[in-house]
Amino acid sequence: MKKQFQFKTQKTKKVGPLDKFILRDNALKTTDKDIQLRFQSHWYRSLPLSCMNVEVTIDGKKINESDMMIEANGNRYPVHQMPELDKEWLFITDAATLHIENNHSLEQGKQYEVALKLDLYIPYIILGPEQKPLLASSVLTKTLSCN
Amino acid sequence: MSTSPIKLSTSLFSLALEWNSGEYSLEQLLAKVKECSIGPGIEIIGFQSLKGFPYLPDEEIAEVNCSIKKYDFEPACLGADLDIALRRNSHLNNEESVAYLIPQIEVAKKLHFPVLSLPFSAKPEVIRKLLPVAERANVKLGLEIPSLLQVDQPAVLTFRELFEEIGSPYLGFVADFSTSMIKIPDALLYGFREAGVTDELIEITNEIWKKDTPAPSKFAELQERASALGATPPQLERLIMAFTMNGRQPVEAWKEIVQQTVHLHGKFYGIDENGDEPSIDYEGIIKVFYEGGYKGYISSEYGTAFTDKYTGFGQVYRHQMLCARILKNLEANKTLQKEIFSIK
Repeated sequence: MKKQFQFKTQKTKKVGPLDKFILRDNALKTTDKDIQLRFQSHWYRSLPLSCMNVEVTIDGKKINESDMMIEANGNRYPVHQMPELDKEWLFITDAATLHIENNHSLEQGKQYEVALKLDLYIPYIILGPEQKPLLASSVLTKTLSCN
Repeated sequence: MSTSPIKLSTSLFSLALEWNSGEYSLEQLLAKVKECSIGPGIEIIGFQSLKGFPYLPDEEIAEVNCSIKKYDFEPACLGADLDIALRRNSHLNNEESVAYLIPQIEVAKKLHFPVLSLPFSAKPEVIRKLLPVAERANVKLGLEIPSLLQVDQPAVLTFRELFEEIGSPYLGFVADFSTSMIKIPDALLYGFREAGVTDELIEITNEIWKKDTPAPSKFAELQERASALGATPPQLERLIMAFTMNGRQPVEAWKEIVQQTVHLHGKFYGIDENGDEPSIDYEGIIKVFYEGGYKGYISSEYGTAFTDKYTGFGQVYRHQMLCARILKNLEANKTLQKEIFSIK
């Protein structure tokens, strides 16, 4: 019950209309090997993976970062390596896939509440005395059918 | 229109919503833009429209050139970026910045764009080093002045002096109409309401925005008053955008840099039923550039970031109708003045 409560209080944070493309209706899939979640960026132009952070919650349960790999352009990396991936770009109309360690908790054909927090560190908009990149963060919650 | 030294162009930035939907290839998008636009020009943003930019294989360059030609567009401007904070732990230094931008100049050359727009994060030393490359490529470098900065502020003056000192036709500014806003656009306020911002907070933001005080003190006042009314940090972030995205430079101030301007970004946030952009003095701004002798393009740059109520295609058409109407009146007025002068 506590998990359910945590999920319901998950805040939805919008950057703008481009957010609607982050998670498409067919974004969630389960295989024998893993759970896959496909997402697209909500900026207007491509960014490298070094400018992104992801957090995933499925039915109120936060997925450990160490249980996730990210795939872009056919290349896979542990999610914790993302800050170093300034050479791996995600083209703005392409999707990246998060591969989540399969604990066999998801079933095909069933629906799940998926929350994706996608932080984008905009590398050309530098702000403040600390000269930090603008953070454009979206939290999207969507009920997805598992394929 | 055809006699005007100012031509109209479409920036594909305007079609972010349509592009991100994944429903269009670049060629299909260009085909649709051709149907919905009046002006001959086209502006492409490298990191938006070209996968792998700026490292593009010859076949892709040939394909893009072919599409631009097929739909009879004139290349007006290529949007570059300088991603200073590409790495989390250290910013690109000047040498790396130069190396980051050179291939982007090369793409502009290969795609026959006469201007490459650069973000304001490019430092004077970087621009000095890029100039010989730009000259060889026959591509003008246009430094885009952010909405927040006015032409007489130190950050801009540094570049005005630099451009004057060097005196190359390959260096100049890209001026953005959102530097001279009459009011915070309705689309942005609509976005605020969507984010749960109250009318009271919006009123305070409007009130502070209209003050003739420097940006940092506006940020501080907003922070203090909005927080006291219970604005959450994400809401405050959005309200601050109202200050960073909407400048209040008087239209006449543009006169000072008309001669140094190589491209214009006709930013707009929605054309109303009368065919006007109620938050920007389009007539006033275009008049200043027209009378100042600007020769080049105005690229329609629709800020889609706040609402998906309208299609970018429809908005670009309305925007170009507005600009064409203003330019036509300016031309007619000029002809009339010449006639009066010849009678005298």
